[in-house]
Formats: sequence, structure tokens, C-alpha cells
Amino acid sequence: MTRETIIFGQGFCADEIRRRLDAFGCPVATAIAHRNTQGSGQKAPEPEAQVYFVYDRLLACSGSSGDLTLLASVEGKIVQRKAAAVILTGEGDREPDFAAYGLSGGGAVMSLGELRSLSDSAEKMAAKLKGVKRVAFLTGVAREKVPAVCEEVMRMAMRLQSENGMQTFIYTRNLKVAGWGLEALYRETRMAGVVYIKLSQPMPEITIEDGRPVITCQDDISHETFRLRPDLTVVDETLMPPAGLDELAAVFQIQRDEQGFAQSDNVHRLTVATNRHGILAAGPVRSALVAGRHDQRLDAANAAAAVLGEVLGKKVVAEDAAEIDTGQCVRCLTCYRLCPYRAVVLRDEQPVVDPLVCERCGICAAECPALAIRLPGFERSSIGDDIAQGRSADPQAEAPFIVAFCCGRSAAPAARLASMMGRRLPARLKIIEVPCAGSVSREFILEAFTRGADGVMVLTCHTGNCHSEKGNRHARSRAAEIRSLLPLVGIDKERLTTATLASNMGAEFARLVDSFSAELEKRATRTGSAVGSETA
Amino acid sequence: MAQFPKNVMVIGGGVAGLATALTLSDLGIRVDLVEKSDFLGGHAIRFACKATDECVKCGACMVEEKLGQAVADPSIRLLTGCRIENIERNGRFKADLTRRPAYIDADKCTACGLCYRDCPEGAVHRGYSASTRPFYAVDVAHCLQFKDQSCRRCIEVCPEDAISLSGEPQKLTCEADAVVVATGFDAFRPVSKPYGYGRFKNVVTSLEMEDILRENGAPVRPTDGEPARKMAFIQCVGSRDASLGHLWCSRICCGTSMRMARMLKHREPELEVTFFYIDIQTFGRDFDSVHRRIQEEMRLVRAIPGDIYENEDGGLKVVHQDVDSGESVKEDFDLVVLSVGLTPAEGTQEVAGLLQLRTADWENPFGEAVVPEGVFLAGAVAGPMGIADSVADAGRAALEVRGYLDGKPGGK
Ligand SMILES: Cc1cc2nc3c(=O)[nH]c(=O)nc-3n(C[C@H](O)[C@H](O)[C@H](O)COP(=O)(O)OP(=O)(O)OC[C@H]3O[C@@H](n4cnc5c(N)ncnc54)[C@H](O)[C@@H]3O)c2cc1C
Ligand code: SF4
Ligand code: SF4
Repeated sequence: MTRETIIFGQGFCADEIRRRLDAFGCPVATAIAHRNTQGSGQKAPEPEAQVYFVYDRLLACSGSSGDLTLLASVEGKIVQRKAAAVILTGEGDREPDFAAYGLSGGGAVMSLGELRSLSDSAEKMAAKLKGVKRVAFLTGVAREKVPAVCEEVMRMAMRLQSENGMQTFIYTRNLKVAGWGLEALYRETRMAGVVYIKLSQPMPEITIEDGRPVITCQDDISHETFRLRPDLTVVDETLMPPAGLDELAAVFQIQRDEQGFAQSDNVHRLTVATNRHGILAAGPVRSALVAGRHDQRLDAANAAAAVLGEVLGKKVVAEDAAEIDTGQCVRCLTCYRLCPYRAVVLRDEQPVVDPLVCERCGICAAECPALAIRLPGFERSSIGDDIAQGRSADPQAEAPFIVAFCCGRSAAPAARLASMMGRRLPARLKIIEVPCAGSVSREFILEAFTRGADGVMVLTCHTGNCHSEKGNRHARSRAAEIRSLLPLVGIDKERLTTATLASNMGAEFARLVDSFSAELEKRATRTGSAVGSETA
Repeated sequence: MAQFPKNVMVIGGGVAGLATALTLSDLGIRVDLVEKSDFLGGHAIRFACKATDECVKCGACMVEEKLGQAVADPSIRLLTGCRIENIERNGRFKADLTRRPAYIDADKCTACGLCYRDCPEGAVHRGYSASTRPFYAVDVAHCLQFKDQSCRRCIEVCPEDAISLSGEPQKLTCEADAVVVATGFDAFRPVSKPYGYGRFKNVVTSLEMEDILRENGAPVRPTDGEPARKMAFIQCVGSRDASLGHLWCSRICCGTSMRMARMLKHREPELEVTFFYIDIQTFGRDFDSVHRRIQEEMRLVRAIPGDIYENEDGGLKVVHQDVDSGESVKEDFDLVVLSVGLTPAEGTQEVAGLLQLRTADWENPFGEAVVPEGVFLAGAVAGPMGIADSVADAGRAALEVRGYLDGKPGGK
């Protein structure tokens, strides 16, 4: 097994990760796509003490944290490379918001990025900005921005104002000061003479006069109409995922957020984790919110900590993974497609579960059309026995018998909290805690009715909160399907319900089961059938 | 390489302290987590989930998860109810702790809640998480037995015989190779602001609002227990305020209050919400679209109110500047939430002296911190930050601790 970590992407965060890992003697290789080295953008490998992994095309990545195998084509040959971890990083792309303001770059209009690159050299800046006296910055007017962009704007304005003797104006809607020291920076820029114009609706009017934009608007604070014809208008940028990310995300099979960044919008993906063990995302590649230097440093440290934890090998997963019965398996690859952690791998076209990767969400077992997958401890029969026991355990046969399938990360702790808070729960409530609601199969639900449940609840975490990305939605759509079929077998569909909860919603849990219980009782009296009597 | 396991003392059991302890444990280090209050989880364990029909990524449930993991981790020793009396430094650290007696026996308590229900002084406190053991604790400052030995109600009512209101404080020593200070923040107490806080019952802080929501699931008014119909949120209370010398944005209050308001509107669409604000800070990856929805769902007024008066019925008159006319207007609300900011914690001062530590000036977080060798900061102790940032900062701190213990300061 190798201890090497492969870093994809370059820039500040990549350098920081390397520095941190170097300090601990963890070997690092920097991945370089060969074709990129011929184009203009990326730097070619420099002959220093760094190790490179140069490839033409990345083909696949299997395995998990501590033991990943990358397949790539290099000069026509397929090569294998082992890695302890892969870290996706890089600067991300920046798109100037020209179009949103009806402007185009050039002449008296410049993007924040152009100004930033000019600022590297005082001479270049002086030459390019010769004769410029008044500068307007448009930031977060057309689109809301992150603090990192606002910080750049404030720093640039400050510099032009105090070093280049210009008068600067910052147009914005909501000044983004929710970053380290930014409120103080804002005050400093105001002291230096930077003028802020804060806007609400509508957009300022921007027209072109003699090739220069004229900005007319009403300031929120002074309520006055303000017309300005600056010598230079600087338009801010929107941070985007880097262009090459599509390919990497596809090969590494990681979930992305709506904007395409390398991490899903999921609270469980804390700091640098993705849905795959051993594939980490650090810096602006994972979110525009971590574009600032301070945040990038934190990301780099967390990536290094994750690698180090892996190398030290503290975490050993001992729990039973899902198992595929190869005799029963029809190789439809449903499990392969649906596993959120990419734990199902193909060996000679036969899907098998990598026990080190499996998180026991049970989505595969619940979705397998051939019922070929077993999640140890959560077989239909053992769930059924558990339910039967719960039913007979309670002597109070008057109340409806409710089976609540509870996600172990949300509804189950909420249930515990409810009883600890002293909430009275229905007398005959059987909680079946599952690792993820994604494991609650159609069979489980039907089993609950077969074993005498008067009502069945499928309680998941909220949409967008699932550690297994979509386990909650799978569970709810299965339940919806069964609900529509229940009348066909003579069962009132209201006896099956779904709801979403978070682990801290004890009070809500109590209310939910209470009102379900009351509803069951009401319906039972209405239809005349005795609650708690044998049902099939 | 240094001999492991080493032992690290983490001071403060909020989300930052918990996350630091967990990452240290991942890195092969044993932890003593020292918390002064009776419960772990810090401020954030109190928060209500803000989900609408979907998760809005407020992060509250992550605190719950970290707490559960820490409780289950055998390399982390959890020491609640502790006061740090002294810290000696002699290569390593040696801390003398005083631990309050466990008035409620965790092994016997079944969390039936009778003591909580029956205490005449409200001196029995309740935890916020199912991972909290015991779930109840006695606050000696308010307990009559401790005052004048006049009450034994909880002892009598407890069916498990789990309560004893006597016992000597325990003396403990903690030997550590490094110390992490994760003492967090104090929420601003807006008594000095002209909003009648403390006098008008229906003026509450956002932190108190969390408790109201956890208990009721609805924005009920303290005066009559009725759900509010017209609410105002006042932003930046105690933040971005030159008159207080608080030249920082607390970073979390726009997100937390707007998520709260959206959740309440989702549960009760008739609820009217007005936000008084200076600038709305970006929260979440999808802020651009969330912001558009917020503009449709509630009224946003760019003005910070100057005054609040109370009506006879407990209703409130908020005096603010009308955006269009620029004139001062009075408007009625039945509940006002003050979005209080973060301020440096008193608890930090309690240990700073013992460690010769000077934390950063929050106005200039890159400035003056003096952190001695072997001492590390994690989370909101260093400046205002949210849950996800506190966890990220904790990961950084843990890595730096490991680097220090390995004699590899390059890790810093
Ligand atoms: C009203 C409000 C709402 C918020 N909502 C959100 C939100 O929705 N999302 C979000 O991300 N963030 C939110 N935050 C921010 C969140 O509370 C912080 O990010 C988080 O609590 C920081 O964790 P911490 O561990 O650093 O500090 P704390 O939570 O303050 O924990 C510090 C711990 O240290 C202990 N301690 C202090 N001094 C000592 C000592 N001397 N010895 C021993 N122990 C000590 C304290 O008792 C406490 O348990 C909110 C904050 C407020 C005020
Ligand atoms: S149980 Fe979940 S994590 Fe495990 S293999 Fe099946 S789908 Fe993947
Ligand atoms: S986050 Fe919002 S409310 Fe809080 S201080 Fe910053 S601007 Fe004010």
C-alpha cells in the first residue's frame, strides 16, 4: 500500500496542502494532465523536488481511502497508480459579470481580475491607468457575491484611493463583510475616502456616453439620485468551478452541488469530505465560499489532517457491510448505479460490495429487483420478528400499534430526545431504527402491515440532508408507491405516512406520532374496525 | 517520532472543542475535554432545526452528530462541570480541576423529567441532546436546598433515587502534552440598546428564540404563549456597532435569522416578517436564489430602528426610518427578535491568564494574538464564526497539535 497523496489542481491551496503534508513526511504527487502542459494556461512541471503524476487521460479510480487505484492513459499505454488519497483543489474560474450590467470589457471598463493582474506591478498599473481620476466598482449589484470578492474590491479601491490618488466609488447592494476583519477593512476604506453607494431595487441605469459608462441610481442611505461618469468602471466576478472539473468529477464519481462545485450541498460533507472516502475537495474547487486565503488555509489543513488520519490508520470499519448473493444477482447493476459511496464495484462484471467503503445505508438492498442484497441485521425476517415482538410486548391492546421506521441519524435520536424531554408517546409505538431510511424497502413496509401494524411511519431526515445523498428520497418514494397500492389489498392508505425530521426535533417527533395515532384512532372508529385487532 | 498516545487537554466542549477532540482522536491522540457547564455542545446544541420542506444547511444537526461521536469515542474523556483552578507548565501541562459533584447520578437517571417538572425554583436544567447523560442537572445557584436547606422536592420525587444534593467537589488533575482553548463566545446581551430588552417580555434575543422554538416549534410570545403574527427581526444587535466598539460582523446572524424566518413562514404562511438590516450577508452555496426568495417572502427594511415602546397588551411599537420618505415612523409588532452578535467570551478570560494567552482582537483578527507554544485556539474563541467554520478551524487546530507533538512545527 502506498502512502502517497495525489493532488489535482494548482494554486495557493495546493501549495498549502503540500506544505502541510511535507511537514509530516507524507509523500505527495502533483497530477498534471499532459495536454494541459502544451496549452497556455497551466504551468509545466518544474524540475524541483516535487513528484508529478503526468497523464494524458484519467480513466477510472477504484478503492477507498488509504488504498485507491487510479487508471490513466499515458502516451498510449494504460498505467495504474496507487494513492492513499486524492485531493481535488485549484483556483476555480472567475467569470466577469459584464453581461449582467450590459457592459463589455475593454476601454473604460475592466474586470476585477484584469485590475488584479495589473496590480502585481506598480509600473504597469500606473501606465494602464494613466489619467484615470474616478473609478467605479460594481460589486454584487447584479448578482449576490461572497465576502472574498467584496474583500478584493475593497482592497483594490483602498489601494487606488490611497496610493494612486484616485477617487473610488463602490456600488453594491449588500456589502459582504462576513469575513475575517472585513468590517474593520470597510471602516478603513471609508476613512481613506472610498465612497459607498448602496442600492436596493431596481438596477442602476447604465448608459454609454462617449465610450464611457454613466451610472445613475438612487442611494439607499441618502435617498438621493446619484449620477457618475467614471473614467474607469470595474466589474466584479462570479466564482465558478474550474473548467477541468467536469472530467475529474466524472472519473472520481463525486457528487457536486448545483453550481457544479466539487462537493454536494450537504451538511454532512464537513470541510473537505466528498461522498467518496479518500477523495477530498479543498479550496474554491468545493465552494465559492472558501475562496478567501484564510478559508483556503483551513481547507488545506483539514485535507492534510484527513490524509494523516488515514495514514496513521486509526479508523477501522468493523461493521457488517452489505452483501450481494452472486447466485441470485441478475447483474442489472442497480446497486452499482445507486450506491452513493461508490462501494459497489465490478469484479469480472459481477457487482460486489467493498466492505471498507460501504456505509450500510442499505439503499442497494432495498432497491435490488432480484432481492439479492442483504444488509446484515436488517433482513426482512429479522425486522419482522422485531415488529412482532414489539406488538406482543405491549399489553395495552386498546391503542393503535404503530411501527415507525426511523433513520438512525435523524428520526431515531429525535425519538429518544422526545422521551427524554418527558413527552408522552403513543402507548404502542415500535421504533425500528435503521442506519439510513434508504434501507426501508417496500418489503419492510409490507412486512410491518403483515405483522399487525395499524399504522406505519417512514421517518427520514429532510430532503438535502441525507448522509447517503438520496436515501431519504428513495424511502419516501417507495412509501408513496406502496401507499397508492394499499387500497388494492384493502388497506386504508392513510395508515401509511412519511415525514421528515432532524435529530434535534424531539418536540416535533412527539407531535407527529401523536397526531398520527389520533388519526388512526379516528379512522378506526369511523370504519368500525377495532384498533389493535389482528389485521393481515 | 514522539511516543504516542499523547494526551491533550481541550478546554471548552462546544462544537469546536468536540470537533477538535474527534480529529485529535483520529490522529491517535487521547483527549481530556474540559467543560465548565453541565452540558456539552456549547451554544449550538441549543439550536432548532431550520429546515423548510428541505434542509437549509444551518448545521445544527451536525453539532448533535459530533456530540454523539464524542460520547462514543473511548479516546476522549469528557469532564463536564469543571473549573480549571491552575495550570502549571513544566515541559508538559498540569492542570488542577475542581469538578462539581454529580447531583444526579447518570447511571440511575432514566430521564423521566419529574425533578424538572416539580422544582419550585426552576433550578433543574435540561439538556438539549439525546446524547446528553444525565439529561438533567441541578443549578446550585438557584436551588433552595443549597440556599437554606429548605427544599428536598426533587430528591423526594425522583423514583430512581438518583438525586443527592450533597457531596464534595472532586479534585482532579489533568496532565497534557498540549492544550487547545475552545472556549467560544458570549452572545451579546442587548441591555444597553434602546430596545427595552429585559423590560419588555416580547423583545427576545435570537438565542432565546432558539429555546422557544425547541420547546414549542412555533414563535410563541412570552407574554401570552400565543404564536406571533407579526414579527420583526432587528439585525446587527451588538455587531458592526462603533458606539460599542464592536467593529466586526458576527457573520452568522443574517443566515441564522433569515433561515429561522423562512422556517417559520413555511410552517405558518400567514406570519408577517419584517427584517431591519444594514447589509444581508451571504450564507449557503445557493444564496443568490435564496436571497431572491427572501425578497418575495418577507419585508426587508434597510434601517436599524432607534427605539421600541411597549403597548398595554404587550405589543411593541418599533420606531424606524421609513425608507421612501426618510421620515421616522412607528410600527406595531407582536414579537421582536434581536439578532444578537458574538462577543469575546468571559470563559476565555478565565483561562487566558493561567496560560499566558492573549487572544486576538476581534476587530483585527490577524493582529495581536499571543499564543504560547503548545497552546492552540479552535473555533469562535478566535473570532466570530459559524458551525461549519468552527469545525474547519478545529480540524486545523488538531493537525497543528499533532505537528507540535511530533516536533514538526512545519505543520503550523
Ligand atoms: C443566536 C445564535 C444563532 C446561531 N445560529 C447559527 C447557525 O444557525 N448556524 C451556524 O453555523 N452558527 C450559528 N451560530 C454560531 C454558533 O453558535 C457558533 O459557530 C458555535 O457555537 C461556535 O462553537 P464554539 O465551540 O467555538 O463555541 P461555543 O458554542 O461558545 O462553546 C464554547 C464552550 O466552551 C465552554 N467554556 C467557556 N469557557 C470555559 C472555561 N473557562 N472552561 C471550560 N469550558 C469553558 C462553554 O461553556 C461552551 O460549552 C449562532 C450563534 C448565535 C449566538
Ligand atoms: S449499503 Fe449503501 S453504502 Fe453499502 S454498498 Fe449498499 S448502497 Fe453502498
Ligand atoms: S451577519 Fe448580518 S446581522 Fe450579523 S453582524 Fe453581520 S451583517 Fe449584522
